[in-house]
Amino acid sequence: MLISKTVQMKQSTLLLIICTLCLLSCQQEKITIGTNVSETVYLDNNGASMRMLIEGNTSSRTFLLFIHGGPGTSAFFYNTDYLSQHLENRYALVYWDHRNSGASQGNTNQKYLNLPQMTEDLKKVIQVIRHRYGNHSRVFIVGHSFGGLLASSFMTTKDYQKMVNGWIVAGGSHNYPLNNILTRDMLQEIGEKEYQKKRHTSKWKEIIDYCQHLPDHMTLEQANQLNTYATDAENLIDGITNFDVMTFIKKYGIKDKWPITSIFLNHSYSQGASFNHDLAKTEFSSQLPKITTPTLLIFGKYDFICPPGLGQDIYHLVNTMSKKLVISEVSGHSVMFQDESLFCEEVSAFIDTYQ
Amino acid sequence: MNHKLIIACIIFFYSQQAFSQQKVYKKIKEIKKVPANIRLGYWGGIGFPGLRMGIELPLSVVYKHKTKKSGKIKSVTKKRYLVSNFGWYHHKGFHDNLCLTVGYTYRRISKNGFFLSYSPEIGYSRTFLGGTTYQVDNEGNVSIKKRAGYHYATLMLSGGLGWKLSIKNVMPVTVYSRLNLMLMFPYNSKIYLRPNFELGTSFTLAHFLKKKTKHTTKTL
Repeated sequence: MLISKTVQMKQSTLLLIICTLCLLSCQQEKITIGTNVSETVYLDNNGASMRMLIEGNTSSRTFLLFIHGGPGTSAFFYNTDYLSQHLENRYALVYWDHRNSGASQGNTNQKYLNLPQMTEDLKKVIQVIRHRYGNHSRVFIVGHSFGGLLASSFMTTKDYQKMVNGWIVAGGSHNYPLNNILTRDMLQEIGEKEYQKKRHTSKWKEIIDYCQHLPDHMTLEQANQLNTYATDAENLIDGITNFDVMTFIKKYGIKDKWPITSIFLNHSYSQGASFNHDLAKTEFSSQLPKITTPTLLIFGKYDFICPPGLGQDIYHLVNTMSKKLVISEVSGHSVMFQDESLFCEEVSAFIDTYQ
Repeated sequence: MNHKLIIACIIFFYSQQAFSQQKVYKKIKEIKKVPANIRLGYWGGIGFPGLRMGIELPLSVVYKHKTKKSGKIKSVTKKRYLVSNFGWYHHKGFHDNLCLTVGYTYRRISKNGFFLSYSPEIGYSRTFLGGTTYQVDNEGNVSIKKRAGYHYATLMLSGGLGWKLSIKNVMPVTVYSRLNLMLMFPYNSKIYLRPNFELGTSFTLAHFLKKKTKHTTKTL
């Protein structure tokens, strides 16, 4: 009887150990060097565990790190079939979800949700890449929308820019007050032309009327309303390649096992978080002359959210001759989806030149 | 004409009320020892597999029999359980979650064994992140964080249906399916919602965790 109980206890303990090992097996460090790699790792820093999906050709030792927009959207969106076929075959792409974004997880961590903390997070993401794939790995960063602001913060903080071989701004912002003025002026200018052509007149009239009364120094509420109109305006222009977030979710959400509710809830939280008040006043134009790193700027001609004028501002202020400004004629705010071939060609050429 | 119709409706309504007041159930109360149910099922979503098991301790059973005008007897059984569940799901690249909950289940079983149930539960979740987790100190030293994941308070609301096979067979087995809405907090300073479904079976072992339970038979 006693022997039987001992055997049962041993069996239970063994079962428990096997279950725990199974559970923790996905946390074991596994570094794959290959041409078609897909690995998920997390960076744990100050109350947040941020997801990094590394896909593509890690044997190239060249990494293109996506810094998504929002704040609070997700890097899942950039992981499209087109980018996989045209960039991941040559380089490794790192899809990083910021804190309180996408698949990133944590408990109560609102006190760490601010731009300086996110800048430190980005530094540590690059340190993790180098730790995994070697110190000689080449890292390029690409900032989209709010990711442009975060990338600008990173590039102008201390000597962090030395950690990257090049930075790319794809429809990104580096100066929110300037961004607001450029958006307002662009909406008015293009709006009036469209109105005269009798296209979507009622909507354009509403937008123009709103813009006419906006001062140069806008409140966060005014900036948010302007951003809503900028999003609407893109859909009013003929000839732009349409980009619909819901189509992306339907296409990739189930297939790529997106944590959809986490993406939505994180986005909703970050959009309303108090640090947006600080972001509304943030600008890096005054610090851009510090940047000596090769710079590629890709903007959509009809990007009302981050107008091409932002690209021109960066282009004139960075302190490097290795710079290029590209304007896509068929894009709005998301040039990597709306003009995929141009985006991939320019990014590849840039990386090949400076890696 | 309208007035007459309204008056007729009022008379009908009150006559129904008066009639219903006359419905008096004959009640028989007794205490019986009833074993607990054991549940085991698939728990997850499409592409997110998991398992969930639990125990249902009976709290009360009410048998309701009502003779219809046609002479047929309508029988319904209402059962209340104290439940405890332990579950695990795997969401690749996101997290694994171990979840322990306690709650209350209400089940309404019809004569043919078909039942509807709902269940609020509270509990605790421990997640394990879906990938190697790194920490970097201020000197740039990178290390691996072991057992990386989070602790969350959990709330689960479930509704489902099933079939009690033991009504027509001797087999003391029930099959069920449930839709659950799982809520975890504080998740990134807010909440995390996770809809999922459960498909499983529960069974009763004759002498397993027998508990004194109040049985009420109501007959009309």
